[in-house]
Amino acid sequence: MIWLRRLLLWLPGRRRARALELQEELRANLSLAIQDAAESGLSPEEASRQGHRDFGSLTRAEEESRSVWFPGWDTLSQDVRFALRTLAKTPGFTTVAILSLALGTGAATALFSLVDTVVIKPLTYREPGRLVFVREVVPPLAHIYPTLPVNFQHFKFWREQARSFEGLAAIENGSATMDSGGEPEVVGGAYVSSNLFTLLGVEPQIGRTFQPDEDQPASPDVAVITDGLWRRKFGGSRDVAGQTLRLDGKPYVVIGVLPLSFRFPKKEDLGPLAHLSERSEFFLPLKQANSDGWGGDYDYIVFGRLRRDLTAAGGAAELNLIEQRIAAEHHLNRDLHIKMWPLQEVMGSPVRTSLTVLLAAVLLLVLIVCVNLANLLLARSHARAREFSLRIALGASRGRLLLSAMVETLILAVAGGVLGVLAAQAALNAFVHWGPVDLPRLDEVRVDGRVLAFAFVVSMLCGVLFGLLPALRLSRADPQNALRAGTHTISGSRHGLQLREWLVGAEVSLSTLLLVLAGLLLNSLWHVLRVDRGFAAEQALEVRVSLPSRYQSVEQKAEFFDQAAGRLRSIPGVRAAAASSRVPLTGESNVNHVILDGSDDGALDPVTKQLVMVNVRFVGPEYFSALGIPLLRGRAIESADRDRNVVVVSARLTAKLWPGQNPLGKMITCGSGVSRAEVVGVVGDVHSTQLERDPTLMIYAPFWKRAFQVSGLVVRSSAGSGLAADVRRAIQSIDPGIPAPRMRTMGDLVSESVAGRRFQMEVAMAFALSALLLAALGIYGVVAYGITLRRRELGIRMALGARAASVRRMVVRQGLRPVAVGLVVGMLAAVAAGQLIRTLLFGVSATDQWTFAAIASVLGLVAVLACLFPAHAAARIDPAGVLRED
Amino acid sequence: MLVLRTLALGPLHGYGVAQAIRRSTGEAIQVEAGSLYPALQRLELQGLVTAKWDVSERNQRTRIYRLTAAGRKRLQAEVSRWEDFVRAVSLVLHPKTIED
Repeated sequence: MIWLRRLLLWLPGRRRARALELQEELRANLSLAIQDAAESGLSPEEASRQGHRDFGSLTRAEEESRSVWFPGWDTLSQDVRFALRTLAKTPGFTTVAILSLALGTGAATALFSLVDTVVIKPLTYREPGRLVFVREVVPPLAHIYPTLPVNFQHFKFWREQARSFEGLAAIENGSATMDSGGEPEVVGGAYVSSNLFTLLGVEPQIGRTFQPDEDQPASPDVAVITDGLWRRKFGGSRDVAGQTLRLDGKPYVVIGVLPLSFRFPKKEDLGPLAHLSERSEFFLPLKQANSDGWGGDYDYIVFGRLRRDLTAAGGAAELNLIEQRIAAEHHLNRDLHIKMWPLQEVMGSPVRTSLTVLLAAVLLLVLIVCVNLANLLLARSHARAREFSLRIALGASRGRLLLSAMVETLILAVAGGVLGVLAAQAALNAFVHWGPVDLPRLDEVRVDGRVLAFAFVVSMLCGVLFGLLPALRLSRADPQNALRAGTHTISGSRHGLQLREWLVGAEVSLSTLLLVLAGLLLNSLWHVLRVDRGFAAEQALEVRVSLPSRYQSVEQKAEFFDQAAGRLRSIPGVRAAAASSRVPLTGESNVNHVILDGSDDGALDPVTKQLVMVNVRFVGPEYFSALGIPLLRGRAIESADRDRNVVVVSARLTAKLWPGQNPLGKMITCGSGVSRAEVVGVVGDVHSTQLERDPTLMIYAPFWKRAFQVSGLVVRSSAGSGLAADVRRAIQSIDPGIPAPRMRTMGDLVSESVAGRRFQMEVAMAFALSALLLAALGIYGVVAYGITLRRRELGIRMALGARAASVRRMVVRQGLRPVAVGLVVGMLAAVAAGQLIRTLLFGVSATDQWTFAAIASVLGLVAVLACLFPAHAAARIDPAGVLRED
Repeated sequence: MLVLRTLALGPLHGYGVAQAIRRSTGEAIQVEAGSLYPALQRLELQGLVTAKWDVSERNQRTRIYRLTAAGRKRLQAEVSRWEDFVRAVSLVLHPKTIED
């Protein structure tokens, strides 16, 4: 009841009205008292005096009554008002404090929402903890691919035999050209086992998902689509179920629409050789596998839901037993086993390391911010020591003083926090737009309640952390000492200076740590960009074309690419154009072992004695000149080779297969498309995955041996911006039913391939530079403060003949002392931390001496500069003036 | 308790309460405004008294306090507690007188 009435007094206007009422009441009663006095026969003045005396203190009555309504409010609001006034009086300090806090909380908040979405938040599937992701381990290939996607026959056998799972589902990539009206469009999709959606626990928002028998070969063609495709293609119409979707010329009946929240894993999450579209927007029942072999074609992505009473280890053990049976029954002549991961861990795993690094960097930054503010506040606390001493001398309790000292820092913390959240919001938007595209679930990142709560906790912690130390020192002030010594407290503040030197040392070491790590990352990026890519990215363009399904035979497709290359070549400015199944830096494909004449088994590496695994690319005659890949021996593929069986190989492959021999004229077999082909040329090595990895071993076969539905062309051209339109016109002039080709310059591909690394480096650098700036501020602050403390001493020194230069030297020397200690500590910490990020480095060791030396000199230089400004001021002290001050 | 007791005799304004207490205690207890008005505010917040603006016997507009039912109950409780206390204290001071 009391609190309710108290609360009512908080209503707008109520408080003021009640206070006025009280005043009026008091005045009325006072006049009653005066009247009383007057009636007893006193003169008006005396009556008034008597009335006042009888009544008691008006002000006290008013104040005490108010404190009945709001206990503690008056003092608190006093503190707040006082703090606001002091903060406003020192705008420099306030701005620096709020901005650095905003920097700290902003960075921490932005990163937290990323980590929260990508790593912590559960998937939108039902009971995601029981979902697992399975891949196979095939020992002969394990040296290149530790794990592979799953063979379909193995998957079917698991499904029949395994008891540990409520279900197992397979997924196969299946992009298609959608041509139901309007411009044909290539849409990513997947063939999935009919139980996939029940297994994941996803309920459709419209219609239904697949029924158990809908992946039987004879069942009708049906499709489930995502919310995005539904809105785009069917305008979000509720009666979409039963409508037709034409994919590659074949009609499919739409039976259901998945909810907006549905997320499908990304290819990057699912390990090497897992094929999946960038975005899967339609799902068709997986009716039959593309192969019924038991030995190869590890192509299928497999998810499972464990039975409630079983652990992942139990499920894995059972599958491994089944694998042994498969290996034995089908005489696979090798071991087979599986590897299983919780699906939750898989979705988002590639970014875990970099996010962890970022999180560590953010924590360091927040720490530096706190240390810096503690430092600045300590300087202020010196100025306020007299005020506090006075209050203690007048009987204020220490707890009360502690509170009023904290009020100021909490105000700063709140302001910084609010600004930080705004900054985080902006940073996240920027991140979603310009960040590396490979962050899973990036589009789900939001500043939500959890994030706000986090930001609040961080800024409050900051406030307490950086405010408590100075506040404690203040409230412990010794009144006698401080009051007696006046402004020249020497004894107590020496101690204060020492503390501040410690803080500067800590700050410098944290900044050193961040700078070194950022330096190592920068150095790595530089090395990656300097790697010999093996091709000339300049002026080269990749054009990817999806052929409609009516292009069936290899001849039809080859014919198309032949024509396309011809038309592209006739565009002005184009110097070379050629078909290419895949360009460098877009990953491995068509991987197989090679068989040489005179043997039935795969060729072995002469050193490691392991199978030599080769990528096959199907290319046109001008491929090498279009990409600037140097021809080392022999000749390139020519149009005249149409009736001959020839290939070109990469330099590293010849060194592996025929060390010291002439490779020209050798015969080689590799998967489908290369069978007993003659080597006619040797070309330079190119990087097909990442620049950081060794170049892949390559065989280039003519594209007319094997052409794909989705394939590309490469064009080298000096033409400018109009090229893309010309290319599109050229392609569609052959067949208007072909969807607009996708184009990327090879330069884009190169920067895309290092985008993640570049981004990591940039973020680390941003953190490190902010840390450096803060450290410089801290150093400056502590030196400048030291000089104000020692004004007298310095003045006396100068009066006694010390020269400006020597004073300056002394100040700088003393200022650099904590910096040197911090630098050494930071370097040692960086050596340890470098080991943790070793996997992110390329071409530099974690203890790279040049990086360390460079960082040390940068930091040293900044520190000297930060000392020089106050040192200059110190040298300009007027000795006479100082001595007169006393 | 004194304030409640005074108001139990009838509604009064703040100054009246002070006067009544002074008079009834034979000038022994003088209630200062600095204690009286906070006390009245507290009682009002606790719902033991209500107040409204009215005209006093001398044509002065002021707030008149009136005891509520809860206030009356609290007064009884306080009074009996006080009497228990007084009895206990006098037992200590004059052990005989009570026994007799």
